[in-house]
Amino acid sequence: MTEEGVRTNGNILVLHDVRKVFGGLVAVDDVSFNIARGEIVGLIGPNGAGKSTIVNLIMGVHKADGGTISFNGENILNYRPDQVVKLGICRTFQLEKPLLNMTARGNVMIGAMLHNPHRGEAMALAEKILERMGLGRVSHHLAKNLTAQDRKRLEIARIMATRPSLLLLDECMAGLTPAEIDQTLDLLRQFRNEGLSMLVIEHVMHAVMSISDRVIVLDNGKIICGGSPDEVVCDPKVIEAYLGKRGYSRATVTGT
Amino acid sequence: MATHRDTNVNRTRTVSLIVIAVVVLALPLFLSQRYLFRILINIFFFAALGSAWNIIGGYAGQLSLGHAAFLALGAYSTGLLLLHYNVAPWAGVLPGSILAALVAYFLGKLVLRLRGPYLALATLAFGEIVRILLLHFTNVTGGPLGVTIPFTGTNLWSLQFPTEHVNYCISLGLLALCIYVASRIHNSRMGYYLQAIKENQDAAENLGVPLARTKNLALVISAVLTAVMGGFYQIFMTYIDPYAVAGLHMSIEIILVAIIGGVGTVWGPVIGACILVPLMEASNFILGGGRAGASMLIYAVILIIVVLFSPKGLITLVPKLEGYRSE
Amino acid sequence: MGTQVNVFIQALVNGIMIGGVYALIAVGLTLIFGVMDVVNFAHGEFVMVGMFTTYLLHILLTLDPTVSIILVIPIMFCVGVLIQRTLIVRVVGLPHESHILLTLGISVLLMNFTLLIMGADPHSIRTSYKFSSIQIGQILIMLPRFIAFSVAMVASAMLWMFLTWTEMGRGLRAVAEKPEVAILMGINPKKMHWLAFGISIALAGAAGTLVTPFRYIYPNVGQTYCLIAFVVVVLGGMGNIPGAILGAFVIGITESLTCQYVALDLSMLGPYIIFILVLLFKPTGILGKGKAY
Repeated sequence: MTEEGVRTNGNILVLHDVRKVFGGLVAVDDVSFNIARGEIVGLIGPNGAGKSTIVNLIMGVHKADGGTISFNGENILNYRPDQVVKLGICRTFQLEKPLLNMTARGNVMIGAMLHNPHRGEAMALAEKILERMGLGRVSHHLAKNLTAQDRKRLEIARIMATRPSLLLLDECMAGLTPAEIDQTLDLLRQFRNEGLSMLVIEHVMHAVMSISDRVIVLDNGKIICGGSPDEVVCDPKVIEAYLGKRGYSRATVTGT
Repeated sequence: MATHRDTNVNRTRTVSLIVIAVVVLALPLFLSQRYLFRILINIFFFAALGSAWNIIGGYAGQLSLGHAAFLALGAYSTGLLLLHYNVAPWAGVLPGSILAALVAYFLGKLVLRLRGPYLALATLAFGEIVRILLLHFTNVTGGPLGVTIPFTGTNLWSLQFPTEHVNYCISLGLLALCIYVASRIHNSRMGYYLQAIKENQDAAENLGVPLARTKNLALVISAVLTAVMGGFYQIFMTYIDPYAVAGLHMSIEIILVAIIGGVGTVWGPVIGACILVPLMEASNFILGGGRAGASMLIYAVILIIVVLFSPKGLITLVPKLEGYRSE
Repeated sequence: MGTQVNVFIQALVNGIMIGGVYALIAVGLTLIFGVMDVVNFAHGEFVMVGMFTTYLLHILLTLDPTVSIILVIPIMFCVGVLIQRTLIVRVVGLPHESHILLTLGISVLLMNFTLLIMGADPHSIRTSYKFSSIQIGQILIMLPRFIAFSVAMVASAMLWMFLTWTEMGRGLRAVAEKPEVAILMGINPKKMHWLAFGISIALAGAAGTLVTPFRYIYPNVGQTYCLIAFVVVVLGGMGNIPGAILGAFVIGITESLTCQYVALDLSMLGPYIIFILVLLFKPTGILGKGKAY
């Protein structure tokens, strides 16, 4: 598939035979997948499958040992993280990294300043985003004084300020109550309506299944299955990956 | 979106600044004692150096422990050009600044990716290397004897005057320059990016902050300002002594001023200098004729107290001056 | 031709001799980092304090410096524990900037306190064996240096035995490697902290004692030892004790060779260049453990 072909067929992100080896361990083993424009792709798999490594490879945190990563047709393999962000890809961290001694607004301004270098503009944009995320009332509070839930929201608010077109959400629902999860899902749907594409890595199964257009399953660095949420959840390979061989046989016996 | 309260604070601040500026500018008319001039000039000098260091050390949190090297580069370049080729300091400052910029650029490329103690050590080693080299190449730098500019009478060209009034104005002007640069950076995108880097480099990078470029630029600007101060060093001391100007001692005094006053703020170094320099004079006075070690001892105690109890610096005691970034 | 080789071997031997002393200093520094993650920029000053303590003991009690190590070690241990429990303990767990600034403050404090009390003039200690030497073939080994090397090696061996075979020593290693597990096993990390710091300072002071027969004693002398210690520790890997010992010999030899073949006053350039190379290419150290990025 040529670069042009990739661009014209509406894929915002294309991974092709991406490989990463740490020491002797193959963390990502010739992984290939696409994300179409406006699509939400879920990425699931047991712990240690390599999901976060893939995010790190896309973002340029790690150097890939093989393959290509194309964003809007441009090969971004081994770009630095800040270059990747500037092109329009953002990620959240499993463990939030707020800029503790800056206010919530200050945190968001850093993101906003990427495309709005002037302080006044950036400040206005930051306020708008904070309002939208329900953080307007704490915009003057220092990040270190925010509640856990507000911190998670701040994480998203910051990266939205960089005007991304692709979001890589790394377990952003971990530790949330069911109500909070629903709020977050609504938010993500809103983003998708505004044209954002997303890669959602989650262990909260019902959340990722309800929001994804397509789900990819990763195990031991390899993609073992892909398709709609319903297809994937019944696939025997997937069940085996999560529950192990014995768990699988028990599951089929009880019909779960 | 400035609130009513913000506007009032801004107004008070501007008025107080103007008042202070008028007082400071008018002071030379009322003073005649050379000694007092020297103290004030020292205050301005160290405040400026602290401000310059603050750009990389305070805003970005990259502790450079070898900054005296840049001071020395500026001092030696300018001093030697003046001594051997009669180049006026006004012009002689330029080669020194360019040299400092180049050195800072390459140093930055080498060491700014290091974190915490590794960075501090690397800059320490850098400072020592410069000092060793300056002491070694005796035919160029005069070695341990340093560079002495003989006083040949009033000379605008080489900045020699019988009284301190002009020196006062020059040092004040240099301080104003450093504060101006520091404040412009503080309020710009670069300032915000530097603070983000100080807080969490990974988070900053994932918000689009180009880490290496930003840190490098801050280091280069800081180095150039420091070298410019070095260029005028021989206003304050007509003798450039490698142990004084390039030693670890000087590097520590520079960062003390910023840290004690208020690291990461624009006016912190000024406050730091206003406290430390008179303290040094006082301790020399009380303990009689500059008992070596007394003033640095007091500095050390203050540093320890500040680090343990008031790590943001003593400027936190003057909240109006502190976090004026109204975000 | 033979003299060329002899000159080289002589420089090598000199380097090894002083390397032994450097090992003592560096091991302490790396121990502090390993156990409590603190970078002690004042380490060189404790070597200096050891030197002055030895000098005073010599003046007041006419003790031979090498003998006075018996007194210097407990004195310096107490000094170390005192400083740890009053000052260092307050910054454990804080970001590295606090450690750096605090220990820098302690360094300046110690240096200038000594300057104030003892003055800036260098002192020296005359011993009966100051100019004696051992001769092996064409190679001359100055006796004081040889004694320093030997005692340093004995001390290092004793430290190793302490860390490997005693319960306290194992406790130290536990806290260094897996602090959370150490707590669960009933080891008190706070106690380990001051123990480690005390031992470390005692070693630094002992190193100071060992060099007094052949080095000048003055307040600023600590700064160079501090930098050397850091170069060694980075080379060997922060927190890595065998690395520190190995690194000490590498640096001792480098310094000696630079002194011989480049210039006396540039002898520190060799170690600094190695330092920069290590930071550039393998900042975790040759035997690595630290994280520089």
